[in-house]
Amino acid sequence: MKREGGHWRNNFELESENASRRFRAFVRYNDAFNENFSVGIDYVPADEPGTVPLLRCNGPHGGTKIHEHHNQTHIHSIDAQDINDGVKVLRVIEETNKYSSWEEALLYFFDRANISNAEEYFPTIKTKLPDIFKDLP
Amino acid sequence: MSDYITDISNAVAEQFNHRFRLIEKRPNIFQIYLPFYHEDGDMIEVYIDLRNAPEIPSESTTIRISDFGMSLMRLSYSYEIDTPNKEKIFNRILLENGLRGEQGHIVYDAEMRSLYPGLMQFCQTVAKICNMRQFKREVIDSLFFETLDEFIFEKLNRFRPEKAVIPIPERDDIEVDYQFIPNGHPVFLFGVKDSASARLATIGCLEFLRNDLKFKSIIVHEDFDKLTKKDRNRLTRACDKQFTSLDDFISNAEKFLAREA
Repeated sequence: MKREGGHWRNNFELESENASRRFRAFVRYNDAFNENFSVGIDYVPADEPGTVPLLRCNGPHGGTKIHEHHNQTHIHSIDAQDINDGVKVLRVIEETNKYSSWEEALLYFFDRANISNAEEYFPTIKTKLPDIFKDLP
Repeated sequence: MSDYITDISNAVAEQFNHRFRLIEKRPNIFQIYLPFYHEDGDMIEVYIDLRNAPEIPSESTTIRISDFGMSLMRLSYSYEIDTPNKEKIFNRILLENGLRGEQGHIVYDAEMRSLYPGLMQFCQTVAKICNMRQFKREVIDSLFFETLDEFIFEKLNRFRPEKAVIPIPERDDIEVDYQFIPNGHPVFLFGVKDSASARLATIGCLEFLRNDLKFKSIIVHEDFDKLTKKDRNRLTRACDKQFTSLDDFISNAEKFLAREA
């Protein structure tokens, strides 16, 4: 992770197993408030400019429209109607208790986004958080 | 009607009051929950930093409002401020709205007596910053032809521009984007923003030459370097004059067309 301004960051590129689709993922956490973090993935279309956001795992950074005064880890995703309408915004929000730190969110994200070789690039994360893997398939 | 207005007033006051909360995030740093949201439904993150505030506040006490870097962090999910132009736009948004950037944090020092308008100003500006992603290339790209059109009809009118001209009547599949007539012979202009438009421009110019038309051809590129080497070479052989960017055309078009007159 690299510090830039008021936050820490990393980006990584992904592709589908048959190499036909490309994706871009990012990890961010706030320097002053580490609990304000985000781990997300965008789809990178081959035949048009720009990207399509797909998923973002957030920390408890403040309220949301579903819970104005409630500080809870939550996940943003996009629905098919928005994609069809060209609305590239992750408007679907679900609260979650699957993680409580950015490292746990990253592990959850690897599983949720079905990233098959994450350990090759993040070898130490499993050893730091062995308990997380108790219930994972 | 005055009862109605009173009811509206009371409703707004009550709703604003109920939709506000202060939470201590760290000692002397409070997150203020306000009903302002990003497009994805996340609340805009606003903090009150009292670490350097005096013990006893007064109406003139300065209260620091800050985002603690959250706005630029959020923006970085899909957009990077990584060029001098983007930094200039970012700094201009801050300046025009009375805010400052400090090591990645956006801050505003409001007096206690005007804390409410200060918070409103802060939230509006954060929303503008977070919407800088609208300046992404694919959005700007779509403005190329609009900007070209605007410039031609505002600044080059004396050269009698015409849009969508078909120079060879039997070939309605070959069209030029603009035609000027600075003297007796036409000047044809093609706007080129990608390979497809580069190739169409090349075909057009070659057809006009094949048909012995008397003309000059201009190419205005959205971004010359974006084309492949082959497309650039083919176009260079076929046309008379190229402007490698819209800025280049805007700076030099008048002089060029005046020389043709």
